[in-house]
Amino acid sequence: MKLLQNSGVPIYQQIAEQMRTDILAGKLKEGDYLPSIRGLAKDLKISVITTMKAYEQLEAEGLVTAAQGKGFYVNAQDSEMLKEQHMRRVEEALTEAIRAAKIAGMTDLELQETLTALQKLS
Amino acid sequence: MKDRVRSYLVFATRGYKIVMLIVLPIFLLAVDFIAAVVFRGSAMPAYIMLLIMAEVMSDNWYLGGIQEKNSQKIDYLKTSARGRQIMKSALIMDLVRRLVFLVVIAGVSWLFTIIFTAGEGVRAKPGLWEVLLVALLVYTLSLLGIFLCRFFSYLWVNLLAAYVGAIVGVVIFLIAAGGFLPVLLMDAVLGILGAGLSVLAVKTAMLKVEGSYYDK
Amino acid sequence: MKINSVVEAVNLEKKFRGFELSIPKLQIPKGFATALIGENGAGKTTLLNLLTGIRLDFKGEVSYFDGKEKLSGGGVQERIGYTGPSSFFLPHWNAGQVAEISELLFSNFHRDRFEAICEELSIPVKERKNVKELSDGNKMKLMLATVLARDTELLILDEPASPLDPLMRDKLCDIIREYLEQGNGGRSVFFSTHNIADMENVTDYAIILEHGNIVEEGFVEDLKEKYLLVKGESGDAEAAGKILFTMSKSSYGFEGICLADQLDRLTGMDISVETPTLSQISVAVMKVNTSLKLGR
Repeated sequence: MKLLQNSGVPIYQQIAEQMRTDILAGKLKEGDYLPSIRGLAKDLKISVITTMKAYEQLEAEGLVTAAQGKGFYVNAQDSEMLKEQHMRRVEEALTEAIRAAKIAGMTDLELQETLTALQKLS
Repeated sequence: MKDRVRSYLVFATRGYKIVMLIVLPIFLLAVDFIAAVVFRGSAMPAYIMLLIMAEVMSDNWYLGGIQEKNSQKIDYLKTSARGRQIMKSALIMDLVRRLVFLVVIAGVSWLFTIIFTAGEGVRAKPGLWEVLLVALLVYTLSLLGIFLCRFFSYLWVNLLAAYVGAIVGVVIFLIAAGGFLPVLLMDAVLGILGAGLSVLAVKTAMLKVEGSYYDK
Repeated sequence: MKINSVVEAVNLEKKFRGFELSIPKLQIPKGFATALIGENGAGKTTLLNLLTGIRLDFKGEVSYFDGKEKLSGGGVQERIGYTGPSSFFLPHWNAGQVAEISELLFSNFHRDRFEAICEELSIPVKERKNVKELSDGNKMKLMLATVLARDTELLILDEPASPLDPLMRDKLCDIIREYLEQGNGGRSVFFSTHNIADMENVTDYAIILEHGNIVEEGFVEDLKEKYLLVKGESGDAEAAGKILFTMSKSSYGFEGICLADQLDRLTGMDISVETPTLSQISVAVMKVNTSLKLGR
């Protein structure tokens, strides 16, 4: 896990983001336990409360559940919600692309062509 | 008992242990041995002086100004519930060590005179009560000196207490040796004085430790 | 999330020589590292001395370990590891004697672990140096070695970072994190510090003490939401100055800490907003409460 100290994005959000990615990508499967809060804090050289906040955010999103005294385990990701999560990320990325296109002065058509061209590439 | 001895020894540096527990007793006995064999007499007056000075001077070495005002030196002891007990054990064992050493040194010294100065031409032949007197003299006077030094931790107080104690010790010994006062009476007086001072020494030291938990 | 307290104090009061420590309520969260921050003379050492049983003359109730234990019980000190601001050993002791006294004082002291830690922290043990011959950094390391060689549940460290070099400060942070990890929520650390920036990545909860009073406290992540770092143009400085918690001006603009819930009062100004660091927050809180004449 890579953390950027001065990126402007709070550390806890960076942790939550990477855990979220791992869960959505299926790297962390249903029932898997996340690394212990204090263990992760030790490994990442950050405070306990920061990792805790990241995990609490994931819990609020319904991705993980806290088990008393055992840590956090990954929930069953229902496919509908999973898709929704993925879609939200696509939307976010596209919104960012549209913003950049506006700054660059691209027309809607140019933007769509770029998208199509990129789709072919990947 | 084992923990009490450990409590005592833990405050002593290696140097203190070597000098006070090994070198000094051996040296004194050697001097005494030579005095008995060569000069056919006892070196008691000389080592009364030496012992009192050594005991007074070494106390600072042993407890390292532990009773200085506003000292943080015993803070580590205070972080444990056992700290006070260890401190007390050390103070008591220090007194026990002193008494045992003095009695043994004076006793062996007496044996030397008995064995090696038998017969004619003996200048001074101490009896058993005199031996006890020597031990008690050194014990009580060194305690008085230590008492003073623990309250005023200046070098000059230390030196003064050592010298004055030593001189007073020799004078009292000579008074006894000269037969001016009955030895038995002096033994009794010094015994009571020594016992009282022992209790007082431990009590006041512990009061100071206790006081360090509170503002005065 | 329910958080228990490793130390809880009510109506703590201690007066001496024109100084008064007065803490109506103190709760140190269990399972975390808590920093005690404050100016010199704010009462940090006094507070730590009260909690560790080095001073007993104070008013108020202190309980330990989920409120179950009292200091007078005797067992509490066995479970607490304390290091002082300067050496609290007899100056003529060497490391061997320190181990010996530790063994006498605490039944949970492990001599082999102590020796391993001395080796790990490269404390010059083999030279048989006296405590008074050690550098300040090594004195601190030796104190840390004695507490880490014990099975404790709470470390109370008075200015552990101050005498240490940058490398060792980093190591200290690692040590604290490892201690917390091994406890898995059952171990806590409470330390005072002037080196907030160095200790920031190991601080979970912060308590800021000024003139013997707690002026701010909270989990660091919460404090970082409560306060914001605001930067703006010099033209807005005067207006912003009325709203900002603290502010410093230069000819290029201003920078200051603002309470998050006051941010909307700054609308219309050309400002940028960032999350402040703990040391920025602490300095701001301390500035507001200090008796120092800083000349704002």
